[in-house]
Amino acid sequence: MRILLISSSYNGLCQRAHVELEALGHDISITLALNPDDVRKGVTFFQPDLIICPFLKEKIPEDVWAKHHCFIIHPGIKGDRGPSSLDWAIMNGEKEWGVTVLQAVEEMDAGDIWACETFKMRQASKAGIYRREVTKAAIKAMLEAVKRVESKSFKPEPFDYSKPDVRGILRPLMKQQDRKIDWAKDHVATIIKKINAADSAPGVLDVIDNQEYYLYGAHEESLLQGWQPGAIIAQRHGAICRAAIDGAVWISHLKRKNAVKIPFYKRFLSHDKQFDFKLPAAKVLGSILNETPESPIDPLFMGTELTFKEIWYEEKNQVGYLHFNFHNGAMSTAQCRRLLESYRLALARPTKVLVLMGGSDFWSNGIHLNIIEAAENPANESWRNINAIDDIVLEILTTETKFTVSAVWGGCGAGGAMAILAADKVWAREGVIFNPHYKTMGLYGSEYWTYSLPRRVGPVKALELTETPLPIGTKKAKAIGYIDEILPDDYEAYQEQVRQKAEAMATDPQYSSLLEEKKKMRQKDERVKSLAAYRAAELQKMKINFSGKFYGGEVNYHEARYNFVHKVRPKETASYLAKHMRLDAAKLSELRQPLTY
Amino acid sequence: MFFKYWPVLLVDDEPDVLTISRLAMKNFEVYGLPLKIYTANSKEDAIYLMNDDVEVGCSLAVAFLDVVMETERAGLELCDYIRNNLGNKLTQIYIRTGQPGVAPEREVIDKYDINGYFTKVEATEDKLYSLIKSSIRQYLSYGMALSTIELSNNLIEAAGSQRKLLYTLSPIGGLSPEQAETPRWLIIDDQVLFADEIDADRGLQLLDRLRAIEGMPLNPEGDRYILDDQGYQLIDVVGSPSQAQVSFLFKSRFTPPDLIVNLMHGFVKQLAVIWRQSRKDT
Repeated sequence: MRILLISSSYNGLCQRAHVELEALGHDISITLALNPDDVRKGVTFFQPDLIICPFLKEKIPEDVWAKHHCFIIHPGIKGDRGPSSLDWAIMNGEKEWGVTVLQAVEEMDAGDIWACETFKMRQASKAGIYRREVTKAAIKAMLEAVKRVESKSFKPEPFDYSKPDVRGILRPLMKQQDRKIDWAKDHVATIIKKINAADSAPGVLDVIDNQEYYLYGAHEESLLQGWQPGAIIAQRHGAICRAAIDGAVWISHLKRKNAVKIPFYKRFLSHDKQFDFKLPAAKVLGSILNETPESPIDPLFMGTELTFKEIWYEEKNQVGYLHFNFHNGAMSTAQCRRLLESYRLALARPTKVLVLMGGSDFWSNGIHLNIIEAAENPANESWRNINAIDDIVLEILTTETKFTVSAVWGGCGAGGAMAILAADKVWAREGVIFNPHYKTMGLYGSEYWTYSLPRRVGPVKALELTETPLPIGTKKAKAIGYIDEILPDDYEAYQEQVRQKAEAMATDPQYSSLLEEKKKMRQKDERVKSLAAYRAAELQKMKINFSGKFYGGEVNYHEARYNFVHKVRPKETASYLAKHMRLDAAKLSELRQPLTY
Repeated sequence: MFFKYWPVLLVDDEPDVLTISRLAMKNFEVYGLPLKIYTANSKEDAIYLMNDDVEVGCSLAVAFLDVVMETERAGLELCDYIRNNLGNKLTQIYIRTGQPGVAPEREVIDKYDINGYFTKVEATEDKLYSLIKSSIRQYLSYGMALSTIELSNNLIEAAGSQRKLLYTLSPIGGLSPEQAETPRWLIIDDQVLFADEIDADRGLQLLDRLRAIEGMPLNPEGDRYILDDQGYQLIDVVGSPSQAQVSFLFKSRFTPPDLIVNLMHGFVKQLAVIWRQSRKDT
């Protein structure tokens, strides 16, 4: 079928829908819902058999949904309606939630039901649940709905609140007054629930030192305590710990409210930088935390107590598991340096295999664009950051004492999607989406990708992957050699398989000879071209991206980063997504045929 | 072409040498631009600086390296790091040693990719002046030549598609952090690339003004280089059936030598031909 995806942004769910539908042989084009005319243009040019809206905040024009088969993927159970479905589900402590595929009609979320899936809720941020449970259920329901359309015999279920299995209701937009934290009364669990329900957007509005901030990234603390609820009692790696009536809560990120947005070009002329985007809390609060003590944590944290930790380590049966759960997968200079230290400590442990687990939502997305944007000199900070991430990749590439594995549960993109290739083996969960390209950010890229990527997929595929900034799913990734294994989508089953496979590697009777072979292979590669030479060549290109001087500085990266950080919507759908905007040579040649009368 | 100053690195473990050199070079100017002097007192310190500051890491015009610092060959190892680890073949590296016996000139020049060698005794202010001046000229010419080759290669790769060409050209035009002082416009067949309405209007007005000045002919076909009294410069390639009319209009803080004007003309001319042969596929 010809399927048009209409989406508010090309987010993770939309990317996954794109990849899954294309893998089934459907002809897919995408239009961002930037304005009704764009949507109409997409429909007119593409003439789809079916329209699917994986993530839509805007209304679809009536002439579109009235004339076409149009599905809305709604992140709620049957009967649930409204713009804050997941927010209410978290806030109300729902044990089970779901995703429904609805026919678009005039009334929002009130069309016939084509498919629905449910899942168990867990304690996590809204974004975390969206990326894991909602995405998995949405894809399953979407594929089911598509199959039902193809069957042409399926009768969708009318939206009917009198049915016993229709448990949802129409809920209003959740407002800040619904989210407000009462530090004098709210328990830790409530505070975490409130922040989770608003994370990653819009955040919970709160007051710190007479200034309003949105709070993000809540983590329970089990040891620290303070006397005055709401007071900041500690800081760690950019996060702040605030006292509550029954314990304490870490808050990793803040966004200042009402910071004046300044246009991109004026940013360079302004000396008064006001951050109007999400940043580590300590960065936003600055001197307010001068007296707040830093609460240290072991670089190779192996404890079980609840606290804020970005890096931790487990070990069992000669296998080490290094977790690094950085917010949104972005790795700043400081985080890279800490990870490098932890990696070296993990290497020194008496294990045979080291598994790089990444984080719960992302393995890594490369350099930290928000921190770079907030830096006094973004070009310098970009340079430091890329060097710091390169140092980690180099350490992994040159590990000779044990085998390394990248176990990818969350997605990865840009530098992160290249960094995974530094390990000896790459295993990924079935539903993972990879974005192994830098072009959308106007960068050439580093992380030794010019060595690792062609080595795995060959030079032709390497060029294809990096030149066309499209996501790839695990099936394609495995077929082209980008990854080695596909693991189950279910979290427990995935964990179990990672353990089994890693332990099998550690106990392989051929372990020593395989390790020796790996060492020899690296030495051979080094003789052909040194890793230093790969890095130097990549960094020579990156320097033009950061700060070129001969024909002028590269603006692409600085502008793209600004737009990314400030969530500036593109003016139009990128041509590599909007297939309908491409010139169709086949059709043109049809037009050139002589007319028959 | 868009330098504000020339970044120079001095590495020496003797603080007095650094202080005196800095003082001696304080008022040096090349093409009317001052030097920006960075100092480091060891190899480690210099490497830290290179990884910390993109300008030192990537855009150094000249480096004077002492040899014997934390080790007997620290300066030579630093040279190796700059050339091979950073891949920087452009910076003009000079070895300045107080102990020529440890690192004899012939051995050093044979083994390391350096641009010159002198002893501290020879380092008079005049010597430093002539070295700085000649090496920055060399750096600029070599850098522009390499950048022109790279841009030309990119144009060839993107040939056939105007969309790809635009992506390749975007470093040259458009908004820039330094736009206020050194604006630049790429104008093809009277269309200003990468500019909003206001910038485009400004660019077209300037283009009209500069085109009215006689300028210097660059070839018999009528291509010209024009420089006005405010520092605006124009490389203007005339259009024909086989090539687009392309104007590279910019303001630089200095007047480039002829060699650089010719390099830029070569690039603009190549763009004019490739653009005409490429399809509109935006």
